[in-house]
Amino acid sequence: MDNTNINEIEEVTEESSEVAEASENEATVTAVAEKIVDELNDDPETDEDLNEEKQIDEDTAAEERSSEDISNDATTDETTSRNNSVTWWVKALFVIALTLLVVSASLLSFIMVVSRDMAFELGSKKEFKRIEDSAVISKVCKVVNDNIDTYKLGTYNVNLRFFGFINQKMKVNVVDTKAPEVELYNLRVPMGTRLDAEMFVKKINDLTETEVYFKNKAPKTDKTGNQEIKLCVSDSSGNETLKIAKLAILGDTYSFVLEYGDDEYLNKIRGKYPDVTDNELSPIKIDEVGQYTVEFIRNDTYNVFNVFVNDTVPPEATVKSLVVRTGEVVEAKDLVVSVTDKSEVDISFKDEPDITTPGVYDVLLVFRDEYNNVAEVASKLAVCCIPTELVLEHGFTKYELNSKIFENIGAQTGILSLSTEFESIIVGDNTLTLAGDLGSLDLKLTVTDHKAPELVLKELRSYVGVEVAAKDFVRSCIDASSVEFSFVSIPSVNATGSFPVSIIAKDASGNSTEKQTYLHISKDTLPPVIYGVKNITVRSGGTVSYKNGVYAIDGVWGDVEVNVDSSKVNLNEQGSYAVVYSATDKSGNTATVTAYVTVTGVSYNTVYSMADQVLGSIVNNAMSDRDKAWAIYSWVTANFRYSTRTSYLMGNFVEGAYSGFTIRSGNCYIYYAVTSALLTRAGIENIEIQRNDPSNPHYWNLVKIDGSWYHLDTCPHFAGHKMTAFLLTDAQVKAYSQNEVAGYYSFDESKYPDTP
Amino acid sequence: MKKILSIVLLFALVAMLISCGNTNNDKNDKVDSPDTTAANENADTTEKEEESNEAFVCKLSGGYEIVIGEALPDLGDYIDCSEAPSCIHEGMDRVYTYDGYSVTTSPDGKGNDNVSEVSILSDSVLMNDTITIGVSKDTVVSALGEDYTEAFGVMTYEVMNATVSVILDDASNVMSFVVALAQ
Repeated sequence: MDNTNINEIEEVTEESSEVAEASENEATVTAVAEKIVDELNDDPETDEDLNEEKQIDEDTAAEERSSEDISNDATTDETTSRNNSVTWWVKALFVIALTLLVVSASLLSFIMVVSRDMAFELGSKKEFKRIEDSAVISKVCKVVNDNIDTYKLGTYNVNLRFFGFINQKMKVNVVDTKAPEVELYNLRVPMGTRLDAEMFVKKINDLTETEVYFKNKAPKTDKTGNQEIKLCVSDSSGNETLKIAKLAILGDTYSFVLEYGDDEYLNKIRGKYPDVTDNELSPIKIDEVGQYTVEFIRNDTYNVFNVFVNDTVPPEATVKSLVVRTGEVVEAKDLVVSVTDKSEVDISFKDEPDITTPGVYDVLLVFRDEYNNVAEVASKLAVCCIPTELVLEHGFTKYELNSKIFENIGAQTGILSLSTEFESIIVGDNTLTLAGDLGSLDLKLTVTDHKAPELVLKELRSYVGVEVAAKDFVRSCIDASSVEFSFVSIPSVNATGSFPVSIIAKDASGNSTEKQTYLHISKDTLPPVIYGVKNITVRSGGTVSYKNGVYAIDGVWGDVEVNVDSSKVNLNEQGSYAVVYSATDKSGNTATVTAYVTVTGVSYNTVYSMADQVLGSIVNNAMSDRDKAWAIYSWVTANFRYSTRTSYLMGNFVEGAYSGFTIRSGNCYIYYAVTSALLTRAGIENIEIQRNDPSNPHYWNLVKIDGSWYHLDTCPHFAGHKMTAFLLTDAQVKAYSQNEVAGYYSFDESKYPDTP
Repeated sequence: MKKILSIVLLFALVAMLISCGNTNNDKNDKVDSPDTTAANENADTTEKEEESNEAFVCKLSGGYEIVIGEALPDLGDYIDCSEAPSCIHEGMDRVYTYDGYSVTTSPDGKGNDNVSEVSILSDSVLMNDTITIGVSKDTVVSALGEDYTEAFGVMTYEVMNATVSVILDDASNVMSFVVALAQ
């Protein structure tokens, strides 16, 4: 055998092994497909399995590629193995087709299995376990459209998507298969209580509507005793729970009877049930008659007791006797003073009295409340024949009035008498009171007056210009009512003489009387009299009150104003001056009185006394001279005002200081004088210093403090050139004179001690 | 990336320009124009001047009216007239004494002599219908009000352009009544 043949054999062997290999591959593929189908039917697949499948697929693909390679290689030997190639292709195609078929079938089965119907329990969590728990399925299958409400029963359609493009619907049913969870109370109720299955229920836990009912007949409560009751709770899905509860039926001692409106009812109930809360007792309305059921729960036991609110108390009433006129309408309540009851009370006569016949009657009043509790109370009713109103002409006596009022009283004399004061009766409308032991009546009395006033006049004397009134001429006037007086014609008072005057007197009822008299007018020649005038003494520079205590009165005109002529008085100069007081009445009569004002001087003692009074408020013995000087400087500058009004006092120390202390104002001299008086009385040595310009004088102080002299000026300075002129040296005042106001502190240095 | 960065920078630049423009506008809104500011200042000044231009008028019995700070009116014959240099301004003060009161005039620096003080000397004259020597403190308060200071027996009112000083005696009656130009 040569090499070529060996090579050919080797090639054929290779080809054969390759074909065999291919066939093995085909079988592997088929087995794998079948395996996949089996795994789907068994459900959960692991990632490992998936990876293995994947690997198998890859191997299959690789093998297919290698098969292609092999087939490619095989073409080169077509001449030699043509028959073998055709058979191989057919086989390959067949395998591929089969494989495809199997794969498709497997895929379809896979999808059908994954998307078969599912069920969720009502209220459970939404979990697609079939898909989520499988690594393989969760990779290839996604839930696309999920609108499931696990708290709502029903069938839902869910869309699944396989391999990203194959859509498949899946039905999901939400079902309720759970029976209700039930907790019950045991019951304790009094006999006669109507029972309801709901009363036993403590708690039901179910997601659907539930119904509670007695398994057997509803239990009776007409006898005391204990029972076991079967109760059934079913839900709307037909799930049922059966439970047993205990029922204790109690006797009458577990009912309460309370009186309507009893304020202590809560304490009475709590006496038996101390732990019952207000909320549990709230159904009881003590102000409403009725039966109430109180329910409370203790230690899993539902307790019930009945409360009956009754009204058994009759009304309490206070009555009075009554006097009425014959024929008047009278109701029972007219005799009632007060009624007390918890409910509405009806009041009536036991027997209707006869109001048409005068007399005194015993009557019985019946008080009946809403719950038929009745009280009867006795009273008296007097029926009298008395008029409702009378009209009498003024001038009647009390006897005549009584006769008129009681003319028809008959046998009831003494029941009533006139209690209104006779003297209080006036012309016009009056309301009279007739009173007695049994009661009182009112009577309207109209008093008429047709009589004119009885008028007596007098003559009047007056003065020119003095107005007169009509009543001034009346001596007396008698009438039953008030009277007004007027002139027929208003008399003139401008001329002297005697003039006739006619006066009309008219009463409130319109009756009038006219009479004549005379007015005598003469001239007033008497002046007023001035009282209280006296001589006055005032200090120079002071002020004076001339009119204090002075007044004038005129015999005809009364108070008259007093005028003062003080034009001759010069308060700035000592001396005695006349002051004339005058008063003139309306008739032109004038009175005058002259007094004298004496303007006196002032003594040093007076000024120092005024200085001491000020120092008492601003300095004390503990202060140094410097401090005292500063206190004085501060007081003067704060409490004084610059004025040239008293400039005439320049050079007069005592008058100047007095004026300054009195009116707290003045020019530089006054400032100096007041400051000097204060410094002197404070024990601080000081002297006067003045500007060396007689045409424009200025005064201030030199003070000695701690052995040295200083300038001190309390007087204000020019506007815009203010300075605190306290303890200044010569240099400082000179500087002011040079830099601020030229020559302000210009002085003859030879006359004054030097400053430091 | 570069394009994106360029766009971002462009937007930032535009935002800066817009904010500067708004700030400038805000400033313009807050600051008054010079004309408006001056007008406001003038208005304030005018108001203050108007307030201080109000003058106290002393109305005396007999029908005389004396305005503090203005020229002396014709008050008839005076009893006395004196003249004295002032320590607080250039020129001479004049004091005119009438029946029951006196009037002081002072130079105003512009060649005019204006009323600087009116003093009531006796109760022969009434000021403003109720005030004179001897009336009670209550009468003064009723006439002038409660807005006064009091120290060492002196009541002081600051009314319009005047200072009113009222000195009371021990019985709290008026002993001195002076209306003076506020210093």
